Amino acid sequence: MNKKILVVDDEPDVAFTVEFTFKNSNYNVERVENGEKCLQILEKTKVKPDLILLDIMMPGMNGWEVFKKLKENPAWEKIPVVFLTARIDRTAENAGKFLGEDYIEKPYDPEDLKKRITNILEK
Amino acid sequence: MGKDSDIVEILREEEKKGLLNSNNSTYEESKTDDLEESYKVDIDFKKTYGDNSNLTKELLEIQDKYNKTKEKLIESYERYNSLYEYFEIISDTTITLSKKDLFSDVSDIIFQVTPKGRITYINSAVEKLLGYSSSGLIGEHFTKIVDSEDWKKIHKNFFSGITKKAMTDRDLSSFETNLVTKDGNKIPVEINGKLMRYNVEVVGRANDFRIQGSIRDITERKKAEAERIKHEQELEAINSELNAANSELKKAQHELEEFNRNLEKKVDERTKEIQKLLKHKDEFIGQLGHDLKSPLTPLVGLLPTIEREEKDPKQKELLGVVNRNVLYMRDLVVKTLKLARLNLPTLQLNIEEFDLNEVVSKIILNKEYFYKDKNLKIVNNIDKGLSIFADKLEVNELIDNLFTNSIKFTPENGKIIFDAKKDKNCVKVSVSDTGIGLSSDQIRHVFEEFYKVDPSRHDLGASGLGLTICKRILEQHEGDIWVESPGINKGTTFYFTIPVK
Repeated sequence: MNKKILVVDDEPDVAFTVEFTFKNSNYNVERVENGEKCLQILEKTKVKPDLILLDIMMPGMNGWEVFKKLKENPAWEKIPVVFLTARIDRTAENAGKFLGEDYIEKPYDPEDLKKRITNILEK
Repeated sequence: MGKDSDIVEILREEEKKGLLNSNNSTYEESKTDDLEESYKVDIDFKKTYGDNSNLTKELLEIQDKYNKTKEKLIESYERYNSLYEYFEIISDTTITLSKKDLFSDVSDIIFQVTPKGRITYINSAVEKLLGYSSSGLIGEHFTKIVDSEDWKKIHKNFFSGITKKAMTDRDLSSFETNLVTKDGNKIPVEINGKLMRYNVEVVGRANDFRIQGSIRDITERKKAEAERIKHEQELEAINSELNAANSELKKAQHELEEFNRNLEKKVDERTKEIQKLLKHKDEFIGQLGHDLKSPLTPLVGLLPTIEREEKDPKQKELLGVVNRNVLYMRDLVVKTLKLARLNLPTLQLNIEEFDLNEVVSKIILNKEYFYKDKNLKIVNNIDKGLSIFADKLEVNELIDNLFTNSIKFTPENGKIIFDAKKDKNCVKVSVSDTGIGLSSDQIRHVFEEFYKVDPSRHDLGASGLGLTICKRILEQHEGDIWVESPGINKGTTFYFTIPVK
């Protein structure tokens, strides 16, 4: 069964690119355009994503706020979060480091992204 | 018992009987009247006692004795009178003689004058000071040497409307005047005087007061005083100049303080402005980074796949050109923004302890897609557990850049070795490759901004900023970076040091 990646990014082209990157791979990519919708989907769906790719600069809830919500909820706290950000954000770096996860800087190299995601999911 | 003693005895006897009245006030009044009285006593004595022969004989003898005594007494009185006259004339001279001996060597003038100003004594000091002989001045009026107005003052000092008794309590202290020398020059002097009264029992006259005292030449003192006053005036002048200068200084200081306050205010304002601008710049770079990088994401993410999947060789070639330029642009944008961020004065490092081996291993793992096609051998010789204190994010960037460079410039089947050694004060890390190497000229310039090893070749794979970024990161860490290469095609080794805590 394919693993599921949830991409949270307000820019549809970026989200699409991520989806495209994982085309023909073992991962299914699902997209939401903001933090609120990410939390809604998590509440609705029974099958939780195996990894969340989280943008930081988003209208409404930013990536960091979403990250906090995820970590506060016992049902979601174990889901690995990888920050996908256009800004070098130390908060993201620290949060990623703390949980053994990662951050990836935009514009990412598709091969780099694939490699890193695989590294986490196949651990 | 001698003759004189007998007379005294008789006088005492008569005094007891009240026959001789010695209580009269002054000698002038008593000296003749007393004798007349004594004579009367003699007559009454004969009347009272009659002609008793024995008694008469005795009485006559007594009378004879008495008459003789009387004659002697009168003689004595006369002698006394003449002595008195003599004394009155010579007394001053006598004093003079005695005092002359006493004050002859004194440098101050010692003088004595009568209340009316007649000089009765003056010592020899006057000769030296005024040119008069002291004996020549005896009997002269004091105004011969003292200004007449000042003499009046001296006189008034002692004799103005006060009883005689109180006069002797008066003195003249530090009275300053001028003496006139024989040549007519004026000499400043200070007179100290006292009103003295001669032995009353001996002299006993109202005129027996003398003003006596000393006169001191104060020429030198006056000179000194004049000097002092001159100096004081000069000092005062200097002082007032100083005060003026001081108030000028205070004014200047005040102005300076005001200026400083304004300056500080301006500096504060400017600092705030600069801080605001810097913050704005920080925000701007952040926003620019986001806005430039986001649209590049689909380009960088999609183009390689499109190019790979394109079957038409012509189209594939075109896509290849686009893809290379997009990658170049990505590199340029990412690194320019990175350098801008590193140059921000607001940049703060997040220093922490971390395992160097782990960081390098992760980079090697993540870059696998980049070097696997070239069949490069990557060796990590860094000891596990070798930790350093640095900003992990920056060190990651630094090693990533060096590694990317090595991959880029190392031909297929080459080798890249990571190593690190702990020195005394730092950790020295090296990244060696078997790549194309560097000439000594290239080594000199390799860390400069936008420097490209081969400027004639439009190298789309390099922005020319990667090593500049590495250098900046190490500057921020107070570390160092350098490169060594035996020459072209002989490989390159980059070294960097990071201080131990």
